[in-house]
Amino acid sequence: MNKNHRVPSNRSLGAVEVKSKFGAEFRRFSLDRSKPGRFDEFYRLLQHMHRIPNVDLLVGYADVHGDLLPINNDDNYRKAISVADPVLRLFLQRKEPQEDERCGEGDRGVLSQAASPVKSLFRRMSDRVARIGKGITDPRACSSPPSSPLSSPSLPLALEAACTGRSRKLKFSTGMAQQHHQSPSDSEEADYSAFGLDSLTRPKKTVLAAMLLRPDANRKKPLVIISLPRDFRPVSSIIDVDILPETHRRVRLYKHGQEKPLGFYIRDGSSVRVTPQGLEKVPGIFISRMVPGGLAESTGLLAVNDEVLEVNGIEVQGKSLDQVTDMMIANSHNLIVTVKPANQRNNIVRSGGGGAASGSSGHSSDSGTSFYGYSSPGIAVATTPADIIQNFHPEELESDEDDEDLVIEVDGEAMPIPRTSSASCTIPFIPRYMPHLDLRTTNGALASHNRSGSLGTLSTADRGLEGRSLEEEGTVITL
Amino acid sequence: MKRFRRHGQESHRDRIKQELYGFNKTVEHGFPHQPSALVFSPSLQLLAIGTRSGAIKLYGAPGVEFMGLHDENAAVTQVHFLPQQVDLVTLLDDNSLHMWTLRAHHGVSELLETGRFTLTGPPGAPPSVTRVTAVLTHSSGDMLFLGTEGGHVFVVEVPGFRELEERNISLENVTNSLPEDYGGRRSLEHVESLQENPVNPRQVLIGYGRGIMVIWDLERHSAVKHIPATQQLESVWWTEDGGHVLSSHSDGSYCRWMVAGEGTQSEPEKSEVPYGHFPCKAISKIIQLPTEQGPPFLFLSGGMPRASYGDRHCISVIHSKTHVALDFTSRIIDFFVIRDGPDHTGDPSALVVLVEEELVVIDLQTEGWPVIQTPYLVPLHCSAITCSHHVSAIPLKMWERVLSAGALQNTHYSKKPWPITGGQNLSPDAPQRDLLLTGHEDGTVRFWDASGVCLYPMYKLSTAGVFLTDAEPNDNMNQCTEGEWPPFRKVGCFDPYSDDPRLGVQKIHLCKYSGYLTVAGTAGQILVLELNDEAAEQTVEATVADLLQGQEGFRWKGHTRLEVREEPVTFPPGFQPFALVQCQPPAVVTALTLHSEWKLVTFGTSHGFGLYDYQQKSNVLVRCTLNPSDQLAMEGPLSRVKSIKKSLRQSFRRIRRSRVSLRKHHVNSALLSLANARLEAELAEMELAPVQRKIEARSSDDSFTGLVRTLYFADTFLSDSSHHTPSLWAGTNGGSVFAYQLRLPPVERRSEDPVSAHPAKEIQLMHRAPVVGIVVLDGHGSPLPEPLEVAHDLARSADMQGCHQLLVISEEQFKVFTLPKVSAKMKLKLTAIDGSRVRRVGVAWFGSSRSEDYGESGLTVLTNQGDLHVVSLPGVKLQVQYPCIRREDVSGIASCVFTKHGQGFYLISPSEFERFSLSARCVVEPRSLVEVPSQTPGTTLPRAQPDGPRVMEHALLNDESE
Repeated sequence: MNKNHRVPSNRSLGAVEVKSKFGAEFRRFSLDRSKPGRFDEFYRLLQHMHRIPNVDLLVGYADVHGDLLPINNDDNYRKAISVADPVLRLFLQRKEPQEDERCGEGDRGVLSQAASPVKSLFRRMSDRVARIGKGITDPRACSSPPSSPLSSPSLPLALEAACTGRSRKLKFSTGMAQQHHQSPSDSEEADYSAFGLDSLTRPKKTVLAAMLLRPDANRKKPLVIISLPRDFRPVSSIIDVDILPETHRRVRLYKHGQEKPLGFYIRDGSSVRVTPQGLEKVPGIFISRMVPGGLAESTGLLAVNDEVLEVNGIEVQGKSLDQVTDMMIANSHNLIVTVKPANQRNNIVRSGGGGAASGSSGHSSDSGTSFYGYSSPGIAVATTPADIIQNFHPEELESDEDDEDLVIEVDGEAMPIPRTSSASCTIPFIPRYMPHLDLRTTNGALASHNRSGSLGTLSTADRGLEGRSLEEEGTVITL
Repeated sequence: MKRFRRHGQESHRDRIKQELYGFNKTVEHGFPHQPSALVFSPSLQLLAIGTRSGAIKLYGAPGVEFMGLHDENAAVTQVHFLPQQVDLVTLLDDNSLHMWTLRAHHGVSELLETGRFTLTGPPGAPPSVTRVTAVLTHSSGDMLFLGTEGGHVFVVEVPGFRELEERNISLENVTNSLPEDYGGRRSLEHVESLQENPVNPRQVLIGYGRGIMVIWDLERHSAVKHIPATQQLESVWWTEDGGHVLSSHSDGSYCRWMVAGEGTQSEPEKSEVPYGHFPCKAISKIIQLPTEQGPPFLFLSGGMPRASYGDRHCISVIHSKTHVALDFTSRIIDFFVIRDGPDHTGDPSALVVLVEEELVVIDLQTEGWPVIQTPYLVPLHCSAITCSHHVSAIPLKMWERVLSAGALQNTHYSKKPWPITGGQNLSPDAPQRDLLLTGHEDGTVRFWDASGVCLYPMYKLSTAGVFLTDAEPNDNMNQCTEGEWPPFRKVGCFDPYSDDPRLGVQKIHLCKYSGYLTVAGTAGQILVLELNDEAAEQTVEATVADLLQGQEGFRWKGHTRLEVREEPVTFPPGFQPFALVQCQPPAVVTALTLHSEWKLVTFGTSHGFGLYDYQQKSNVLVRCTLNPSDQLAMEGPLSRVKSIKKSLRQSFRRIRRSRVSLRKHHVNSALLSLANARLEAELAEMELAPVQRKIEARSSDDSFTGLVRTLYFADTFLSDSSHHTPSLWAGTNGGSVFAYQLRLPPVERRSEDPVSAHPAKEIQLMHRAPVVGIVVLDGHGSPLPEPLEVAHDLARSADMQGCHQLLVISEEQFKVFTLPKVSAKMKLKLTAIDGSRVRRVGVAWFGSSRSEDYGESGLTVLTNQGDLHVVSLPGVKLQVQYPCIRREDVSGIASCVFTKHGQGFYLISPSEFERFSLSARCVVEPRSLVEVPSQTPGTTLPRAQPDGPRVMEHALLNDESE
């Protein structure tokens, strides 16, 4: 079943050239292709080569597709050796204590908290999946297990359907849930997720990750790596359900510097308000169009003809279309829109939530029928509103956004502007490898920064800016 | 308790705010847009202009200005002063009459509307019966005669607008009095003119459209005399002695009629077509005035030969052997003549002509009839205004030098003082000398004295002389060939056609201490000029700044660079160019700053920015900010964001230019069709696309992210907190800020050692909104002083001990960073809160109106919603907000310029600046008093005597005694 063993070595060369990078340092050595040895030997060799005997490492390599894949057991180690062509490029990272990521921005903390019910869902699933896909470690190497119940429809899709269908409160969209593809800016969390957290010690989870990644056997699209649920990030959420009228919905779109456009249009229109004098026609702002594949459309929480009532807590009544446009764009990195949906049938019913919630899940779970049986226990957890509904905190709004202007000091370091007001954890300087490099453009500022001869790797949390460029000792990795 | 104290502090702050800020729109400078009526009151010495938008403006001596606005949105068609009074009557397009008066209040006159009236005809009558076409204010001062389209004359008592029905002169009354052979069967048509006999107020002449004039005796209520003119009547003038009537007609003729005796006269005493033989256009107005000794002056408007000069706007002045056809550049609205003498009955002294775009005053008593320079109503738009720049508190020396340079340019003007002298200007002398500089489309920069109520022209600088353009200078101005007929003479300065749009001035920066000026234009040209009191002949050295720095794949589709004159050019005294930088590609300059102490000029376009050392005449730094994927910026002019109006105008200009010089521009027709096609596409798009807006975050791929919006010099702590160094800051459309550390050689080696610039910092604002302003605040939190300001002891030197702060103003927010380590300290979000964006920003100092020594620095901000804000420094807190400009008025918002003392200007029309003040202390507004003329028994006495005829006798007596 493990494809690794069947892959014939088409390399005639006996030695594999290894280029290992840790921090800013490179080590080069070679290995015998025919006798790669075991992973733990290799791991010690790396520690030795880099003279970091007591440092816990995450080991990754770049495959032919440019993806960063983990090496954490014998199987994927062997696979890595076998596909090296001819250089095996390794990227080592210091393994961080887990607390680090928790004490990040408040935003993130909330998110991981929000994700917890889903995490438990994943755990349950992983148990089952592990039984089936035992021994599959390298996601690239294994083909889709034909007998697996996960093979069709794809798990991520089913998961999304389950999550949204159940509650319509928290929703994960697969394509972007994994932030390290589109938002390399999201720093070390992304680095971990590239491998799957704790993948060295808990291979089971990696198995799950591999399984989750399996697309349909007949899908031609490039493989998408997906990581663990804790590394998922919501792309949208409904908030403030407890304080808003049932006819309104407050939707938060998390742009987070990803590639996907927000993707909607607004227009002028007229709406009817109830006043003591009777019904009154007043001008209003409405959603006029959704961009297919955009963030707004993919969440399913906004629809054409929904009336926009507020933008980030500020009423739009009396404001012109242009003003509302500018307000939305100014808040685009973390847009909170309160709408009055044109379709009022999917509203959240607050009291007696259990029954109603399960009812709504029934009719929207069609995309994931075969998976339904697996997911139902997890979803039962997920529907508990207390865990999922995040209340809207203005300070949270303030905290997450734009104090992350990027400052480049020309003597070589690039850093986000630290926030003087709030405590933020310092982020260790970790060189990163970006799996999906978009080579189309490098930001002008950075390109010239580079030109001026200053070195240094961009790091950390400025979302979006360095998104598409990566510097490695002055050279841009092109894959 | 705590809450209490907080409340107390807030109210204290509120009081301070009241003492610091106050919003007023104070005065309108320039020429009223679309004037439609003109009148002059000899007794008040006031001039009144009505406009198509319903405004009425009164002007007297310089500084004496009043403005009123009718509630109705209708054009003012006629304005009449009541004789010997401070009241005036306006007739609007909607047939309503309005009474205005100048009322003294606290020693200052105010223009107030006191009544309104619409003529009501008999029930069932068609509207034409009451449609007013002619108005006569009777010399008694209490009667209005209203001639209508239906041919009736209504009499109305003023003020109060009471109809005196028994006095109306109906069409029937008149036709009945006409002998059979004159009346015929045809209608007399509308009342074209109403004139009072200058020597006998009982007689009124009624001129009908068909030509017939009737002299009507008001007392006997019967016709005295008929004047049987046969041509369509245009205007009537009753000579001062009452003996003759002049009538002008639509066929370009005028006739003189004797009116002395009783009875009728079948033939005119004289009939003439002045520009005769071939068919002529109508003479729309005729005036004849006598002189003490010698022949009278005759003024005719129009009458040009239809075929050859039908498109000219002319007023002919004929005096003895002198005959001049004054040729104006825009349509004539009206004109009047000012006369000498205490009672304004002497020789004509000045001809005042209101044309559509300017007011021209001609001195009739100086040989050659020169033009008198106007102190107000100056056509700001004689070439379209493209930018403006305000400099506060000019040192006296500099002021005098500019003035004397300007005086040399004005030698062709008459030396006579301004002939309109009504009212007293009571506004205090301006506290300081302020200059407003306007840049124009034809490459000129005009300097205006903006210290007071009158925006007075001081000096005009032309940059076109540096370049080779295909325009022949003065091709049709003042070329008066001998024996030409009609004897044209060009007058007026309104010339909206630019010969080369590349010459247009886009940015101006003047150092008021050193007299260095830099002017940047549409084709990427940056001129550095120096104030010189002597004329000089010099070559201007050109340096090219390649802003692309080898950026690949670039295709500039815009205009070409301007060609520089190789040979030395003689520059008159004033600002003389000595250095020129030409950007490559020659895109419009979008930001410009001069530092006269360091002798550096920095400039930016949509491609990047550069630093130029004008002492050594060399480029110090060129930096490309272009995003390589930004195709729009690569291609050239902002074709796709250009307004329809603009492209239309350019299309027309192209047509015109191609007509002018066909030989040179073969490509033009292709260009033109291209432009037209694009225009059509734009129009189609506008009609089809529903109004919807895309919601999308900004990205680095957006167009014009590299456009440089602001440039700033600062002496601050850029790299470490112990040494402050000169620095250059640039902000772009994409939310980037670039900081460069400058190394200047010591003063004694300044002309040899090179200046160098090193990149020090780059900031990318997360929200990517365009950076519109950068300010460094010193240790006290106040903005750094201007260059040389401290050296001239005019500002407290900056605090270099404390921590400096960097204020970055983007369209969306105000953000304060620490220096030298850039970290965010404070911010004020504007767009996220109310959806408005910063369009214009300035640093201003607000003095308290209560205590002389208290003041605060603040930012004056104009948003795209047309609201004005004051933002405190360094705390960046919103202080006050006032609505100022309609948000639809995009050009008004774009034209706004702030002063350093909390005032500002913006264009309310192409030709008018509105002046506003945000400061409670610093307000420039007209304060003037107009008194009722001394010899005005007519205003009070007649009203005491209700009997009509006796009133008129009294008035007659008065008139005779004058």
